[in-house]
Amino acid sequence: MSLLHFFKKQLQSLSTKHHQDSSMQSLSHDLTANFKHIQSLFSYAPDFTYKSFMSKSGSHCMLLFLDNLVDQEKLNNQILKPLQYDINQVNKDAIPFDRIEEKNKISDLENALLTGNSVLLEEGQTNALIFSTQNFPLRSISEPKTESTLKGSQQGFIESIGKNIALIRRYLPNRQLMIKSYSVGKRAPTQVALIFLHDVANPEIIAEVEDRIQQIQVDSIINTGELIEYIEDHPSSVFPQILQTERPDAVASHLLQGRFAILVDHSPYSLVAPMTFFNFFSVIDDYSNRWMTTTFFRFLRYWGFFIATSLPAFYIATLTFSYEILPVDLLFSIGESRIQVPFHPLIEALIMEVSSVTINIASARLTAPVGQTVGIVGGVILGQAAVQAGIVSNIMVIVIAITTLSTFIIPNTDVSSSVQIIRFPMMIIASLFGFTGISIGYMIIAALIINMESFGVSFGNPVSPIHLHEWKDLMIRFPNWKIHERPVSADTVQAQRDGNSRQSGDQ
Amino acid sequence: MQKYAYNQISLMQYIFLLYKTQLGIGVFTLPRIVAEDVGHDGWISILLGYMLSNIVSILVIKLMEKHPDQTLYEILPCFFGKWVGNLINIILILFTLIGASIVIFGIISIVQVWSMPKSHQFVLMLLFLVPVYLVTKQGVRNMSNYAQFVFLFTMWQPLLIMSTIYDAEILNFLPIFSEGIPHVLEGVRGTLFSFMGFEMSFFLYPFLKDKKHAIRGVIIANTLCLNILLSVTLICFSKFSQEEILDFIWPTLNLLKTIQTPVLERLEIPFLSFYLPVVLISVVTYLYISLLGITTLTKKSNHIPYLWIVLLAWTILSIFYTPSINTLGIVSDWWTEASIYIVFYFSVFLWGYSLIYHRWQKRGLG
Amino acid sequence: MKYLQIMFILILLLWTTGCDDFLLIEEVDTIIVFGLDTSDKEGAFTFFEASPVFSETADKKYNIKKAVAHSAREARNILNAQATGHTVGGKIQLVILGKNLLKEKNIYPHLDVLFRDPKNEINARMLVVDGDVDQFLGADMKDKGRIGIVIPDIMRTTHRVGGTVDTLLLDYHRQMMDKRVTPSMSEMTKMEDELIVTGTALLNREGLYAQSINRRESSLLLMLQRQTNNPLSLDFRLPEDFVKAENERTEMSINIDNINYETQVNCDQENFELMIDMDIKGDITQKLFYFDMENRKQDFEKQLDKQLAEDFEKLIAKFQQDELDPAGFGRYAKAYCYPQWKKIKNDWPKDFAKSKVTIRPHIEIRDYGVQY
Repeated sequence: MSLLHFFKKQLQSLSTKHHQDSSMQSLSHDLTANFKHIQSLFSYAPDFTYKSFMSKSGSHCMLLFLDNLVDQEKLNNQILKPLQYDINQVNKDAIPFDRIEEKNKISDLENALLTGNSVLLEEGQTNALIFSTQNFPLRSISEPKTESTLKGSQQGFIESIGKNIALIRRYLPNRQLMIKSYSVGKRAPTQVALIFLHDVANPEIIAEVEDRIQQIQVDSIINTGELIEYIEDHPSSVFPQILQTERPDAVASHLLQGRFAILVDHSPYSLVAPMTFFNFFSVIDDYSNRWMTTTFFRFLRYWGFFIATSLPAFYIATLTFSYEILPVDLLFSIGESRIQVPFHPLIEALIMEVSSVTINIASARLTAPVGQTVGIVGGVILGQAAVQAGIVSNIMVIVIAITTLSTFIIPNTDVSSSVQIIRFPMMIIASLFGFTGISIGYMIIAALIINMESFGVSFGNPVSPIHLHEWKDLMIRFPNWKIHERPVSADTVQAQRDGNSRQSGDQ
Repeated sequence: MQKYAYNQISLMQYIFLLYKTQLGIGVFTLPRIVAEDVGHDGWISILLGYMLSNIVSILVIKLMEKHPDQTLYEILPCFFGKWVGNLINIILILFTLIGASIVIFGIISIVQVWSMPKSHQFVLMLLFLVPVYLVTKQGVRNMSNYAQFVFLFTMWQPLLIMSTIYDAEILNFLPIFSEGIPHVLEGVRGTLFSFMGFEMSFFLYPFLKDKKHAIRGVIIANTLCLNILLSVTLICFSKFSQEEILDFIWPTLNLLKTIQTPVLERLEIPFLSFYLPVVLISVVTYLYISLLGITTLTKKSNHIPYLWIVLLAWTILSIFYTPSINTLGIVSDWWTEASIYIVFYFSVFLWGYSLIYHRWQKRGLG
Repeated sequence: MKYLQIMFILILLLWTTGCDDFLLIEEVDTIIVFGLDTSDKEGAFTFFEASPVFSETADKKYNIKKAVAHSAREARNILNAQATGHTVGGKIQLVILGKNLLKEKNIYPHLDVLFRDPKNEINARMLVVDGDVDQFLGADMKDKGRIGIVIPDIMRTTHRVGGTVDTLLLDYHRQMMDKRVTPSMSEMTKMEDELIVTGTALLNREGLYAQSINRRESSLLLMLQRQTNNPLSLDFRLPEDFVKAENERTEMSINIDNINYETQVNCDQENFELMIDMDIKGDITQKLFYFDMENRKQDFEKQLDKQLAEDFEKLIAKFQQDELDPAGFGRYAKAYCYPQWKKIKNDWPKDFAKSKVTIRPHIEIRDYGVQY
């Protein structure tokens, strides 16, 4: 066993050593040797392509690139054509191309090729020219899929970090908008950008985030969701502590409130933090709707959270412990519908709840027409049949329907999934202890929320601790010109917003 | 010196922590207790109890102002020397610990009587200790955040109690001072148990960030508490006759039992369940303060091991010993008696002593 | 992570110890009506319990059980032996007492079980049945519905128009405890398979049945008790010479919306003296004769005042005759004459019988409908 282990280790160290040796080398004067060397690194890459040509000045050149990662048009018109016919020297300054770098390390060239650049080798030169000719397969900017809006912009992030930064900058053309770029991942380095308003965001928080990002040691970061797990404060909590959004306007709004955003290359989502529990209940549309409408919606959302976490629990508690709280008429109708059901209300609730969550997950992955069918078959027909077969009672179906609807009032999908998870322990504790259990359940949830801190900010802000002036944007959304302060929960350096006044009267 | 700075609380947090500590199981029995002691003038005793509490609270703050970075546990050895000071500290620790125990065993017995008569005390104890542990382990700041949450979460409860006022009988309050003023004064003693909790300023003051407004904070907390106690008592008196109140052990819950809405009836069941957070926050405060005393005495910085010991002791106690309502009543009477000495007499004494002590010290220096 | 483990252990512990309090509503026998009547056995009562039946196969919607026992708990044990599920009292809507029983015994101690157990409903309505409770409960309810809902509905409707008092179990408890009033409760009887409210039954200080008053007198009692939340309907028959001879009928009715009370208490005399001025605002709802309201409204109102005052006088005399104070005049005695009250507080009804109570109604007619 140990022998095997030893050999493995030896082998590993050998291979890494070899790899390092070959890539750490610099270019030599010999073009063919250089080419051979690079080609050997890409021996199993069928998309590795090269073009050998004589420049106008007469030197032998080779252009290397990975097919489909580069822009053929640019390659032909802006590099090959001028070099072969127009200019006399192969020189960084002479070639009419916007971004050219000069490198002599093989490893740099390798990285450049892998990220879509083209490399020009010239006979007798120890420096290679690297052209930014990237042209990844990209989709065009489209409207956000998971956060559709009625009144906001219809642009969502796409899979390119450069484009995404540009989208944000369009909202905030300000010198103070700072973007710090990091490369995360050993095997496949991914570009990660930390964005914040320099004079607003708290430098301590920014330093903390920077530190956390730099400490990540992984192969690669594929999606923003993976990054979250490395940087959030409480990875084992049910609640999300970092907002994932695909809307540039939402990011801009949060940046203005003093939070920071993180963009990850290849991912159409941006991260926003530090968030508090209650921030997840507002969306960017809230500020475009009339404030009364928004207030009403917000009340509905909090109510939805309450219902979605505990309505089945209340149903179970009432039926198994405190039937007294029902008026007689209601008691009779529930009793009549329950008499056909042979199961304990908890089992009944679990059957319906699990099927409802199943329908939800199933239809989320399916295309729209099929998803609708699944919803109808699952929701309507299954529910109806279950009642007729005497597996669940009528009232239970109503309870589950209301619960499921309430789950989707909550605008953030992460929070609504946590709510779905919380619902089950609540149901169990209600079936064991009735209303006392529900109350204790709420206390535990509250204690967990209050005990959490996200980037040094209490997660329960602004409700516990109470920050009254921040309540202007909690349940009741005050008119925008009434909200002068930036939220305390973002812990900003600059607490006042700029020029947030509305002239009163005719003055 | 800023030992408590890492856990500082704002004035708002301070108010709510005091207020929610004061509001415990006293609300359920207060109308009966004052009816027993005073009769239908009992509400005046509550007002007097409030004033007395305010006076003592102000003295406590005045005392603490001279020692802004120390809790009472650290002041006492300063005042009286190491041995006597620590002896008093031990008494204080026992006092707060027994206070916490009375409240938690009391609420368990109330829950058992009103909603879960067949459940074993041990099971409920385990259930209640989960949130108690989660909150207590985090220290003062999270406790006060929690108190704020509890305040918001239970804001509907005073409204619910108010809603029972519709058939109020004003004649029940006449004549005022029927048995004379001395009789009303005697009843003040019985109301003090319900105001108990403001003495936490002794220990919470060093945590307060905005120390200038400490007096205002305590008075607001007392007033909020008075608001609840007085309205509960007034409504109980106006709805029930004196003879009837004496017949109820927990008149407040009987009051809630009368509410009937089209959707829900028997609101005392959800009320009692959702009043639990309020009661547990006063358990948490008393428990934490006694743990703070233990850590001060043993010069440790971490209170969680002691927390575990207390929780374990409570759990074991709840398995082997089930106090009857009577026993609880007797123990809480003792405790009230002790608290009158410790909180009222001792605070006043301490305040007077501190005046002399500081003058003496100044002279010694001069 | 550590506390997650702890919580997991805790949940496991809780799960294994469990909780014995749970019950399923469709499996318990929920008592809706609780009845009490005399029995042939010495010292024993007949107990009745009606509970709903949820089973689809059963014909009847409810199920009435009875048992002869010495106490309610004993009866419960007997009845449990025939019940399909655990019997619970959390939703009692109606407590029925036989009039014959009330004449012999104070049943207050026997209802103790209803007050003591916090799970029991104290908002149940109290009802005295003139006749046999067994027969009363046996009424044909096919065209009405569940007995526990129908009877309280009848009682509530009658109370709303002023036909009877609305005494809940909790009010009964208060009236028995409170030294300032004597108990009163609704009275019903069974007439040819119809259940009808006949008025109010009055109990004396000892909790024994004393007398009954009819529906009109009940309206007056409600006015004295200040329970005029709903418009009360009062019928009058005016003297013929007042209305003039050309009219055949002399009946009329008014709806009373609002009464303002003014009380004057005199404690100086040997006996307690009370004078209540009632400012009554009413609307005419029926008037079977012509009267020149435009010019003689004052006279009309005066006449009504006079008649009403006489009615009150008669009613109070009736109360005093049996030493009853269902209107709670003792509250005024306690509030305004406390030193005297302290001497007589255990014997208030006796003292009330000697007291002088004067009611002076002042009716103001506000509305005639759409014709004079």
